[in-house]
Amino acid sequence: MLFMSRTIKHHDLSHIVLVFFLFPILCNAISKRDALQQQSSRCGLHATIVRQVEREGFHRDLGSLVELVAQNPLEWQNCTIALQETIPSGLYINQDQLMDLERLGTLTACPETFVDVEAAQWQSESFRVLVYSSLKTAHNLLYAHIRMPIHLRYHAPTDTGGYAGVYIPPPKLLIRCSNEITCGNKENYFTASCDGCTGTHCSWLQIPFGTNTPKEGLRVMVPVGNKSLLPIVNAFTFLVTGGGCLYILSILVSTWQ
Amino acid sequence: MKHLFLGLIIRLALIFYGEFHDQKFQVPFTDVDYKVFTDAARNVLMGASPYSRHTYRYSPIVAYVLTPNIIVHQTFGKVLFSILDLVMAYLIYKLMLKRNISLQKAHLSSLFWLYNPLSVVISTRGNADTLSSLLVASTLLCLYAGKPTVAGIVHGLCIHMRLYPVVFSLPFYLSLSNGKRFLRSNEKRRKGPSQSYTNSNETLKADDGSSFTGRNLSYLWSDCKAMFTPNKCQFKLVLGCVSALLTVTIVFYWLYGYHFLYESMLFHLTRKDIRHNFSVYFYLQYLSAGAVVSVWQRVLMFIPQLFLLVALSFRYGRMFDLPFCLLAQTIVIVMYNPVITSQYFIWFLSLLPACIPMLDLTVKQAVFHSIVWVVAQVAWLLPAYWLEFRGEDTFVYIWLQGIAFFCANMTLLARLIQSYNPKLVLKED
Repeated sequence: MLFMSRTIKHHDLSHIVLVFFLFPILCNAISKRDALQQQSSRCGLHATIVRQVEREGFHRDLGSLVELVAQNPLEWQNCTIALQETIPSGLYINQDQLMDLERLGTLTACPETFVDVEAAQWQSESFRVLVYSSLKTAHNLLYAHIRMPIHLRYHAPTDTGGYAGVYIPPPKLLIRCSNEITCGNKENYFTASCDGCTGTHCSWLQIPFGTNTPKEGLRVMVPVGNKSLLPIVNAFTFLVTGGGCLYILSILVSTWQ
Repeated sequence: MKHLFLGLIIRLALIFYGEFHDQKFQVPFTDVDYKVFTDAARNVLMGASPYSRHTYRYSPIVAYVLTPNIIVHQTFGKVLFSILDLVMAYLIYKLMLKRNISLQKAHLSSLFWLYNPLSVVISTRGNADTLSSLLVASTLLCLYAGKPTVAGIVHGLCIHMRLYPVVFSLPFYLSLSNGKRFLRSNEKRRKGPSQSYTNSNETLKADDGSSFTGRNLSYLWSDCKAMFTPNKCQFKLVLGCVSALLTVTIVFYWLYGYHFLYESMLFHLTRKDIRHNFSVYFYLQYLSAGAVVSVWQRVLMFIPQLFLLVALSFRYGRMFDLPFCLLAQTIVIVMYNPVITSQYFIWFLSLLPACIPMLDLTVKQAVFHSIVWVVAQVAWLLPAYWLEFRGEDTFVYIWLQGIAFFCANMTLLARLIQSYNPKLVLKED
């Protein structure tokens, strides 16, 4: 809600010039967004997603609290939502872990492609994953708390070491109900897997939402190696391994008898 | 028998607990690879290649053996590995008796394996490394029983299952040598396993008198020639090994193509994992990741290991000393490996029981060295935890602890070599 009321207050000349040049693109984007907004008001749904990355280190959880305020909650009783997440190259999800979570009944998610869990960031590409959840109801509020485990990939070492940033962009919010939804525009309907990696396809309606996530996405920091240390690391490592070899050889000679 | 039964009960109880644990907790008790085996077994049952399961990097035999995981119950493999654990304890016992070691010491050595928490946990989590340990022990037993052909076949299979035992080939070969320093009495060997240990016994006593250091170079040359010109037994060993290895490789290559060759063999040869692990080479590899690895870097990584493996083969490539030779070589392989995970430790822990009676260490010293080894591991785990679970930049500390762990292992190996004394067990007879 806070996000929705946020407006740009500081205009200056450069902004105006920029807006002038970007006008056709913006128009297109705005009209698409407007269409989504109109549709959501027509559907009587107002959605927000509060997102955060939980835990520290290489194994984290991407938490999303999805809230739908419905004008007519009875209409949305038997609905399922799905978040279409774009996982950047710096992250991966583990399909085996997801299967375990599905078995435990905690989470249902299905990546669109095969995910190599061993590859480093510079050997990987971003991919999409659909995360499913049913909705709980409290008066006119429908909500779902989704927590998906994500893992950081090793990043290339840099000249100074320290940390690199990985950005998780905002997802797309999709909804489908057991009863037919008729309120949306045709172009806002998607065909995607109904529930997990089952192979059956359903029609989903995309709905707009407000979120606390900045445009560039949620930032996650990952430690990276310090390349400038390479000569020292090289020298010292080989000194130790070579020394170890000579030491054992000397012991072998001294105990020859 | 009583202990075997108790050992089995402990393992079954742990398997049972594992099932419960996996249902309740997010971090599973079961080994990651066990699921990979099971998936590969499912593929095999459906008529597909086991290698269509990503990260399956084992022999197809593992997938075949574990097909009851799908048909009977998913814990089948764990129960099987536990039973193999018991067989391993029995083999250790036989191995000791073959070398004329007292009943009591043989008994204690096998108990060391049976009740070792590490071996219990590893087999019940569904790790297949017990299988290769078992094959190594079987090869030794065949050699002691005077069956070089069978030993060769088992050794070939063992190399097929896991690549590392390939380095044992040299000591196995040398142990069958006619040369003066090595087992000279092959020709004297009569039929039946009972003679084999007396053989090694004789050799050992004969060796005690001769000193290698005083010989001149020409003598050394003729010795070397004698060592490497194959005798009948060595020929049988090589023939058995090469034919077994070639047969399984050709059959599986025919069945599964290059995928098999790459995943089960070439991958392990070229493996270069940049993610943090116990290896002393971890940070070096990570920092040079993406860049072209220079030739000298490869040579420097390879040469020390090669020197040590060859030196140990010649020093302990004698029938009686074989278990110790294999133990020392395995420590070297693991410590100089570009990737080390904790499951590799089972490779040398499985060889340790057969060597314990020959180690001239007091209980206090043994406990001290064990503690140092464990502490060195924990000291590595600490910065690794901060990196992996807290996201702190602790790469340098992990690298330094990796070096400390390497040094601890080298010192341990040195102590083992210094305290290794075969006379210790022979005095009693």
